[in-house]
Amino acid sequence: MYMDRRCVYYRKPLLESGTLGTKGNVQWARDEFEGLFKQPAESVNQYISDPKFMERTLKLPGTQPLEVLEAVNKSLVSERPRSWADCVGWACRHWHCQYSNNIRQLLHNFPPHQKTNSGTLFWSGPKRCPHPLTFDDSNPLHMDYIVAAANLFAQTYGITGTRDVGAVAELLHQVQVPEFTPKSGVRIHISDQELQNANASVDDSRLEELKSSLPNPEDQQSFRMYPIDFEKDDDTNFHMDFIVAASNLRAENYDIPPADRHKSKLIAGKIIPAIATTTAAVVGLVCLELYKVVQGHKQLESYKNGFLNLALPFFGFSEPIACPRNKYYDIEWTLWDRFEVQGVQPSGEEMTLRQFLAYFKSEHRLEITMLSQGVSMLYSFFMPPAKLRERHDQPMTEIVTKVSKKKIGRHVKALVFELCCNDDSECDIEVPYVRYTIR
Amino acid sequence: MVEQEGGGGSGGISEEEAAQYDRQIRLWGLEAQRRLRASRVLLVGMKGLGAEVAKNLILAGVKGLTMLDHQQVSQQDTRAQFLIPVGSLGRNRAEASLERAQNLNPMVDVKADPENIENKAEDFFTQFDAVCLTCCSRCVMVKVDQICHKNGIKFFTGDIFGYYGSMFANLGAHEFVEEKTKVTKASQGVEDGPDTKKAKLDSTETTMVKKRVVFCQLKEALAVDWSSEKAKAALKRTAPDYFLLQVLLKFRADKGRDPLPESYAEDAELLLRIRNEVLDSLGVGAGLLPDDFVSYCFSEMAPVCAVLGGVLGQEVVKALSQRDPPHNNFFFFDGIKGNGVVECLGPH
Repeated sequence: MYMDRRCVYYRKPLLESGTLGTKGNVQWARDEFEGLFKQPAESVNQYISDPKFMERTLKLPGTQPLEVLEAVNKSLVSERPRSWADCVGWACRHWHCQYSNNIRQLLHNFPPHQKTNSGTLFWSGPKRCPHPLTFDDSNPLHMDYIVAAANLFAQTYGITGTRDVGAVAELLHQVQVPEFTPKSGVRIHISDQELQNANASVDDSRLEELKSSLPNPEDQQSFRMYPIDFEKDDDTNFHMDFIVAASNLRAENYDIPPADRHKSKLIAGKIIPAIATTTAAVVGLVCLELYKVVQGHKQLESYKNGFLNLALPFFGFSEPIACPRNKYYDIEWTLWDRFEVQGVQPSGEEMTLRQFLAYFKSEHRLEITMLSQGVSMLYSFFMPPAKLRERHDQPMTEIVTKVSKKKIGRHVKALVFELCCNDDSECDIEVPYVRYTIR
Repeated sequence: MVEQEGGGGSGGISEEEAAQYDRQIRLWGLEAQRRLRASRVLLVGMKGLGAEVAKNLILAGVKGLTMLDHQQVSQQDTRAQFLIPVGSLGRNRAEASLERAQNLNPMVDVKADPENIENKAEDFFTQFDAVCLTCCSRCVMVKVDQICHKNGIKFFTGDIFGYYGSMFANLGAHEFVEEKTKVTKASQGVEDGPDTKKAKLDSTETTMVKKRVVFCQLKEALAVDWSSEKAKAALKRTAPDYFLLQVLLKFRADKGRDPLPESYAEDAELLLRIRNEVLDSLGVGAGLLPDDFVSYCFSEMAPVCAVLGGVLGQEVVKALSQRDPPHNNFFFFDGIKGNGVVECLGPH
């Protein structure tokens, strides 16, 4: 994504040819969706409504300030549609950009038979050589894309679109698509550093240009955009239509077989398929293990982890491995062991930090060097003496509340503390955690 | 052989169906779902295993499922048969299972048939694309297998004995497709040139490969001759579950029922005697099946029904959809050891 953004900014062709198969193209289409119908709208809304937006943006690292402002400028000024017809025009131009122009530029820089310095073909292995597509309004795939993209683009501006493919085709006749000629002498930089150096000066002047030419947010208060959240399960919202069309067009560029809608939906939604048979079998296996627990089997060997694949078929069973055993002094322990400390007496009195530290010294011969609860550091041997004095005689729960800045819920019966400690010979040793009962 | 039923929706999937079967279509594809949608299945024996298989096939979305059982609901059945509501003692097992089974999926034509399979004529079977027997005697299994074989119907049989489960399949001359991923090699040394985006090496280009497997009949599978040298060598690698199945089928034939907890003592004794007889007649050593099997083969364990029901259900789905390699031809599950084994046993 980073490389992608850099190349877009520096107007350098990006070799995307690594992606093979359906998966890559659908993910690419998904990213397109975010980059066209969500992020720009969000940025614009922030620009208009948040007075600190400009300040924050200019403080961003690297080329981000320029990228963000270019995007805002595009959405608010240079590519802003005033009508449905404008949206159709945008979709058509974007189609040409992604599926024809970019590819033609790429091939201009790296012709099909180009050789690398080592004499091998550049377009080989994972780098498939693409070919540009020619727009054809009688091609359902091309039209699917235009209709979906135009509608989505329109939605971000609150403009009403239409599903009528015929009407859209009519509008397309009026659309002017600028001629594209691949540029020569486009220098491909070998390193990021070179890229940065070459364009550093270009950055600054462009940034100034944008700052002054962007419309004043105060004048735009009645305008807002509508970012779109991807929703794969609504078949009427054009989201999946866009994903399927965009990914399949790209697949066509690279001569990869297109994916049907179901497959695309699966990849776009990262949905895990599910069937009754596997579920039933796995549950059965789990129940059998449960029976063993109930029957009181103590040997590790009696239990099994199971893996199955009903299609292949494959059934694998392995024995669970024993948990690692640790030792301090002569005491063996595992992750199942812990120190049980009754923090609060029936009288209501609670252990203070001083008492807690002393308890571990006398009872367990352990000198605590650090004590934490969750992400809160309650005590460390290197804490400032003043702080230690403050805490020494405070009850543990009070310290926890103070450091975490959160109240301990009434339902919480015990706290978990993690210890770092030294043994008698001042060596740092690992010990179990502490379960500190408070209620 | 999947027969296309005439009438509305033949070969197609409605919007409603596509939505309902969405999660499984993502797995095995639209084509497989269409074939399932056009298939009729006969399921015999509605005990614990039958209930699991019925549930799995109804949820998968077959066209029709006929549950056939002439027996009545007994106390035993309340342990593992979840399709039969409480208070159904004495009712016909298939009919008692009907309501809950149908509720699982209104789009499937679920029927209950209270007759005895032994009284069914050959032409009864020809209306089905697949037949799955449970709780049947060995003779009935062999007879139905022959009818199915003759008529190109997919044949399955499965049984649960306590912690042990087994199933057998005869799909005749079965054609299916398998999805194979194409592997493309990333070439070395093509790193000259501009900053290229890292090649995504998870190339998921797949192709469908057509395959054909020929199954043997049940009679042959159960009558393997273990006396030859080749067979003796194979014996070492053969799961003892195969012989256990033979023992239990013999018990069923002799007693007309399966081992019951109520008559544990005498059934246990009989099982050991049958074990000696059967192993002897097959020409294998009695040591192949140590005594302890006896304590684990009574009643039907619900989780074992679930595991075997899942496997068997999936085999039926595979056979009807003609997708993915089927088990050829036995699958045994041992719930004590937690072992699942596929064996191919027949005249070779």
